[in-house]
Amino acid sequence: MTTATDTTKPMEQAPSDMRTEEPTFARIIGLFGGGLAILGIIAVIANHSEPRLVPSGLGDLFAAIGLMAMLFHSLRDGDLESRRAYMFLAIVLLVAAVVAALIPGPLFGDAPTKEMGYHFIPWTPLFGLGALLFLVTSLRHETVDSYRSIGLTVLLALGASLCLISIALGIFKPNTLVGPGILIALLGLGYLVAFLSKVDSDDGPGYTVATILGVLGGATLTYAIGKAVFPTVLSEGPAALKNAFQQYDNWKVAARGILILACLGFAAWAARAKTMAGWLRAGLALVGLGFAITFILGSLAAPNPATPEPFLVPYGLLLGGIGFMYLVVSVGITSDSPLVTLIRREISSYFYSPIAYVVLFCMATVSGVGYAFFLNGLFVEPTLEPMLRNYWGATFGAAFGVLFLVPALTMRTLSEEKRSGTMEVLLTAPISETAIVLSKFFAALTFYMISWLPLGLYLIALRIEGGQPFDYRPIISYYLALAACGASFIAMGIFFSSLTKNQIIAAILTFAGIFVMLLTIMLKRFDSVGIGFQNVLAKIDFLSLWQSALGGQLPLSTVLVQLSLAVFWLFLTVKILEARKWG
Amino acid sequence: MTQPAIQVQNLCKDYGAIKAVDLINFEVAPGELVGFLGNNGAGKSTTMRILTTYIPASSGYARVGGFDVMYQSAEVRKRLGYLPESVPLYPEMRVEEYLTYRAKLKGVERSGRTKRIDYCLERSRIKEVRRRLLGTLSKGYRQRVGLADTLLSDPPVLILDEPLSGLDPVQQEETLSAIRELGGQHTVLFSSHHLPDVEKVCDRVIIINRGRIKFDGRLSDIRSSVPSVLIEARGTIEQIEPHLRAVSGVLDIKSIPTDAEYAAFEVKAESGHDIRETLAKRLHDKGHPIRRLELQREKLEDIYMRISVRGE
Repeated sequence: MTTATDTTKPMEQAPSDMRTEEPTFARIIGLFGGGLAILGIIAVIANHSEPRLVPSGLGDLFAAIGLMAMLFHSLRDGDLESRRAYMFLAIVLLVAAVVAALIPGPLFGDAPTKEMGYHFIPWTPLFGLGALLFLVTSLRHETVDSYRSIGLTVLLALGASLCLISIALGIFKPNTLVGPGILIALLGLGYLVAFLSKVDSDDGPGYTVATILGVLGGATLTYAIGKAVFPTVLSEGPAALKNAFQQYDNWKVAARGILILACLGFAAWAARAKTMAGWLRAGLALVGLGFAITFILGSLAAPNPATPEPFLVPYGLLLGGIGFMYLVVSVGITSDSPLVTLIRREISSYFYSPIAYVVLFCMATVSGVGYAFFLNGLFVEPTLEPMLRNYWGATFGAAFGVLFLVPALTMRTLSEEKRSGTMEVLLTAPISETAIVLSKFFAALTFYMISWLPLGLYLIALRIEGGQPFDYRPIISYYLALAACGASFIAMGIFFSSLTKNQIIAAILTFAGIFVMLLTIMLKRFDSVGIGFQNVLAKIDFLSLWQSALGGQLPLSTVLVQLSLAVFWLFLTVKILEARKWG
Repeated sequence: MTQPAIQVQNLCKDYGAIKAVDLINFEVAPGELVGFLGNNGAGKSTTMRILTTYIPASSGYARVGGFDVMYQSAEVRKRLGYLPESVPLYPEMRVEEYLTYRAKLKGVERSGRTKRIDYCLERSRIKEVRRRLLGTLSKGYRQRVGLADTLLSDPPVLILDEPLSGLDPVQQEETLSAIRELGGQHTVLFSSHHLPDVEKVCDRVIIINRGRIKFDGRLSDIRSSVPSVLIEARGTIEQIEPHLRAVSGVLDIKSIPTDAEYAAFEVKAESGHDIRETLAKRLHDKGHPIRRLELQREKLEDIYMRISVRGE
């Protein structure tokens, strides 16, 4: 029994006898999930010989639901037997992932030739993801140091290996990037992030791993840009700066000059940035200098006579995207910048709330329904490329998805801070209002883009099941268009959130704002609207922007209008926060 | 001369027709531990929010660490640790996670950050709950997490708004101990309703009422102030008062309401004069028996009641 003078034990512990609540509900769900998963797996395997009572598709669904239920149990139940069982399951899934990658296939049926890696997609990434999730949830409850150490070592080793493999594939076999390469990269990043979330990333091995990830990402990004740009620059030579009459074009020369100056300026900034470590300053300065020298060389001569192979689309973009992703994650973890710290907390706070998972699930479901309609359309009649122009993203369905998604993401950003009083603590710390607003914006935009990820990932299934390649590049322009429009909607949502302490009012105002924009765009369809106003409406018509993007075109002016609107709303929001100081 | 840690001159804050802060002036020297007292709505929190740059003053100026709170607010915020009354925290974060986040925002260097956080956990006596979710903590622990937050960047000035409110006696004692240890190394301005606690830890007290400072003095001065004599004798005020005034050394006489047959007075005398015997003999000689005669030293509570309740 503690006394007032006993300072070794917490003073405020009541009641005196505490018992941990048993996770009975989670155990029931886990048991049910286990049974369902086994049934599903048996159904899938059995259907390979002949059709069974439970069809293969339903078996896949049962297995997926069963595994999700088991994951829920793993998350909630910290019992020794439970966490060790799930750790064992994670290892089994890991082994299955490796086997699926190596075993020649097709495993079932008679095929004239069997090739290694036939079952890589989708089984290796799926099993790998399952292993990651079960490893993370079991480690969450693990208290024995040796098991915890083994788990962390597995996370680190796999994460590092997969990241390195994906980059090596991107460099030496870029054609594998589309599909296996990007999936390995994402999985590797997942394992590393899981490792970093469980160790102190401010210091020690965690900080070192995060830094190495950033260096790897930066080097990959630099390589991708270099490989996309340098061969072309060195091959075209001074001809790239000339017009059709073989005379130097002033604008092209000026643009090249600005580019060279920018590279030299970057090198100079890096060399003088005292806040960065010496090796980083040297590396960045060398990169800037290297780029500048290459551009200068390419402006004076054409030392590369061979016509370079196209690399930028899609390999350069994908490899650069992978490098950029690693770099962003590394900066997010290691940077001490207040803005990055705020963004990191904001993104984490989304995932603490169950609403985030409901939103992700709804968006995945709605995107899945859209995908199903798109597939149905493909079966009805042959579609010319780019066939993605008919994808769900260009429809009113996507607009209505945004109508509900953006208010859900932005309603609590500033209103909750004001209601709970944390705004006072934030604004009396040595950080600016601009940093606070930008952190809310970037976190919401990140979550918004994650919500749209399933729309693109479904196309992987189309590629695998369809068996034939199709032009998937419009999905890249579509994501850029989504990001630009998302920026303006989210900025508007954050602005409305700054006006009130009530989340519901903020959500309603945002909903109304997007709805009004949608209705305004509809006016374009009426002939009675004047041509001048039609031109204005055309610039803010985000539906047309999405349709154009899925058709492979990205009207820059419309994108810039959306980005300008984002800047406008963010500026207003900063002023709202600053207004408390106006007296 | 050492620059004051906090300097407030002719500070005003109006909310329409309401003067929340009305021409207040005070200075706090480096290392002082000052109690800021007043009823609800007296202007304590408003003054603190102006000092922490959260809201602007309507007129006048305030400086913290030599920097103006309005025009050099970034510099002020670097040198300030602030604990608001409500101690708002993010319920989904863990204690250590929250302090790490706040340390980064406050620019605590990476190389010493872990040690600094450990130190603040130790100093605020919350080391045993470092892994707990903030949403599961009691009020006392939440208060101390807020206190640890204020210490992270080792700021020279700490402003604590009602750090003891809502705490039970044990929690109050622990928090007070933590605050007491901060004085000397840090300049502390903290507000409270709980007078005995302020008396225990503070060097100096400022009492504010209806936006105006009514008292600003050292507790040592209050304790060593000249006591007054409380005397009750049979008779009327008109009969007895002239006899009291005739006693040498009497500075001031104030009558106190009592029952019909007796009159009560509070008599202030010159410093060093104990006039009890003289008063007693005088009244006895004049035929006014004495019912009560005692020395009464004015306490902080008396001053506070005088100002905040009676509005003197």
